Amino acid sequence: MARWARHPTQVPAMLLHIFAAGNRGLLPDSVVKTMITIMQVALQKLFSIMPLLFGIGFIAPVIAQVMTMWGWDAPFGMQRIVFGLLIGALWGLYATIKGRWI
Amino acid sequence: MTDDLTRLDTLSRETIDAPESGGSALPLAADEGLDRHTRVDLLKQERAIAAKYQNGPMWGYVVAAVGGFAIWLALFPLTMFGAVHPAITLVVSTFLTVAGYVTCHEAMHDNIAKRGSKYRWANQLVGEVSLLPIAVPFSMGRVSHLEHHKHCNHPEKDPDYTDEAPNWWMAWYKTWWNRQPRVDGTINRYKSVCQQLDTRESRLALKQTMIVQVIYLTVLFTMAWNGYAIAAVVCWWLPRQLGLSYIRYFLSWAPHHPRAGKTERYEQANIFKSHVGHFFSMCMETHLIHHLHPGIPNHKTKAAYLEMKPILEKRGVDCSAI
Repeated sequence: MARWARHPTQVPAMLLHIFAAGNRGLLPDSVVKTMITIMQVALQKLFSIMPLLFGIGFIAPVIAQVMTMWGWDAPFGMQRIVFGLLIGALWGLYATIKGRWI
Repeated sequence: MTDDLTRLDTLSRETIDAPESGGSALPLAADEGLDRHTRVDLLKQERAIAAKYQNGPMWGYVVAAVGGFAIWLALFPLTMFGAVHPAITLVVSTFLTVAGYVTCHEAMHDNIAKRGSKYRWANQLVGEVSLLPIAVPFSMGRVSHLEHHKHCNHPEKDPDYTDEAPNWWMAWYKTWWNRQPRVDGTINRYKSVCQQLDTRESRLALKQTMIVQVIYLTVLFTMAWNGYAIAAVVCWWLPRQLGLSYIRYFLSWAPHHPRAGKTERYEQANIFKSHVGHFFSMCMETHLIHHLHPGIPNHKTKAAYLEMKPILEKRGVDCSAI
């Protein structure tokens, strides 16, 4: 087990480094460190477009399900989820570019 | 408790050693004429009172934190499968989200169990579970909060300084504004403070923050795309938004406003009367006591304040509100 994961309070950190904990000497530490760095960079890149992902991943289905709950139809004969995706993606894109939601 | 001045903490020492004519150090007239002997004597009295309220049983916080977390977690399936109405879930989850910060706040100051105690695990447990409803790890909460205490009301170094606003309605607006993706407030400010600190704790806090945020978003996305979007909104997303605004307003803006220039020991926080009462303002009416003596548990700050009031008045603290 990697040195940082010995204490139970560091369990969340262990999740990110899960393959390091499971490595058990199969890979050199330098390789494991590089893989961890790549993962962190990838996550940072992901966070930079998070508003767009949030628009698609959360706002879109919320809009569709709220419309269903209240019995509203989407305009122009669209499916509710397509309408939700349109609004969610555009709003998320705006937030990604502007850095704020409104 | 000791009379030995060599054991006074740094802040106390600064208070004693402050120039007697230094009006800027202690703002109100009552203290300006205090000589060194009087300041030392008042500090001894203050510390004697504080000692009475520190320690004591803290299991209530442990039960509240673990029980609250269990209820919060249970609301997910209960709401998803229609056993609890979404409106009830929203109210309960928001309450638990706010209450979670109170219990975690005690853990940040090691008040549940000190380092080296056999119950130290309880301190860690309370801290870890209490902040999950706001999707922030305990490590980040602790690092940023201790920086707030260390540099209270410093425009650049206090991570909470971005909550400052000229009036109450702007303060509520600011709580929302500071959560925008690229605005330098709350979690974004906490991250930059951690990056600047670059200690083992701050690096761990940054990693854990990333993980908790990924988990939070993964849960929301998964629930939403599997037909439980409304449950996700009322269980986690909306209570987090409402709870964060409530916490920022009552824990950061109200007790510290106005912040500008108020960096000295007795002016870091205010004594104020809340319209929603002591309990619903998270005992923040007497937040100054917490800054003076962080070892006093949250629920005892008002009693400690009432006993310290004559001393604080001599120090020049405005105690007219309570």
